[in-house]
Amino acid sequence: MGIKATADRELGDGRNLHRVTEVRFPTIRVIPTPTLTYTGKSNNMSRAVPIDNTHTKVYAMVRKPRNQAAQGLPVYAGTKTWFELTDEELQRFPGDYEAQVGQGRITSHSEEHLSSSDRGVSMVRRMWKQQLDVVDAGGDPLGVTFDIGPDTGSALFSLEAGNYLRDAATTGSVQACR
Amino acid sequence: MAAMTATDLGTGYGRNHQPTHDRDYTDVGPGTRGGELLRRYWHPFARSDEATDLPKEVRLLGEDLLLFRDLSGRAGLVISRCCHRGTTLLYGKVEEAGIRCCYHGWLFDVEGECLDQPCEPECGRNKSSYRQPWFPVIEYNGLIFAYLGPPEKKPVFPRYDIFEDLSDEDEIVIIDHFAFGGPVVAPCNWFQTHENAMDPYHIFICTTQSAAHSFIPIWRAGRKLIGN
Repeated sequence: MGIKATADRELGDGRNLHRVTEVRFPTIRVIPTPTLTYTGKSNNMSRAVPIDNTHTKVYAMVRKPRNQAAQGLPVYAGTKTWFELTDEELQRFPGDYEAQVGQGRITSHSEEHLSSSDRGVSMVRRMWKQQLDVVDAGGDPLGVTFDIGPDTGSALFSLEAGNYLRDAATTGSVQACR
Repeated sequence: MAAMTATDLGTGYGRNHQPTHDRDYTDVGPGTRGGELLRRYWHPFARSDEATDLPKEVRLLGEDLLLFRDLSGRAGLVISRCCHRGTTLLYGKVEEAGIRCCYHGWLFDVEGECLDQPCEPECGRNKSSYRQPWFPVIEYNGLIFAYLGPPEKKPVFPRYDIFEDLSDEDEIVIIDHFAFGGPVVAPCNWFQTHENAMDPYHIFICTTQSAAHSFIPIWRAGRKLIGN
């Protein structure tokens, strides 16, 4: 269905933080909140939706208690949201948006120099190419299903992504992202 | 001053001035390899509250489409260009049963069926032979999803367990801009944004640098939560 990255971190109190991030076909990312305001399964999923070859819209769906505010945008220097930053402030405090749009409208793959930390990126690309070939050959790509249950016209999938607190004694030592 | 005899290595001179991208990753339009793979899935393209009786132009996978909600509450996604004489249905009037073209009044329902042709004999005795091109949509948790692919390959709609079995205390909210700051529409190809999700190392460099002023206290709160 996709690719997952796991990271384990010893907390020093006998527990591990076991973090699982998933990418699912075709455009889904399940990235548990890095603030640890929720533990357990991720409370959110987002999709990178292609508008056209040079425009993208990100939709996130977040499950939360009604009486809690949705996790908002970071507040820079305690006062401003991203939308209020000046050009200079954006340049001094860049983030994911600046990095990704900064690759150009369509990044030039011919000029890249991928390295070992790009393993996950390579896996996403390889899986994409494999599924292009599946469709070219007349097959059905990853994750599509045509079985309609007796009472619904939908299929239910289980996600694994989340921040999980575990007993270090039973889960072993710190593991690298794999 | 550098020795005059040394040759500078690695300068920008003579580099590749015609860089290329791999279209397998980046093409989203109809008939392309990437576009056809993407067209085998349901995609969200608007919030539910964006479908109203005032038609709205939307673009998805390189296709220009028109979103509306008929007065009976059904969301519709059609090609903008009227199948009769080609004006845009952006100026159409939405009614109980569908959208009526501003030009000659042909009425189409959310599946493109022609229901009325007021200027034709018997208000369109052959109206069933005309169809406005349309796409199926599903509304789920505040988003509208469309399927733009081959009809015989339309998959069932995928749901995910993390959004199931909501209690009365829980709700689902939609955020339609970049998570850590950015506009609703990013002016770049989707794939470079998507592959970022499997790049765990940028978090420690890119994401936390931008958010340092707010994330330091939040991380402290997180440590408290997890007892560290």
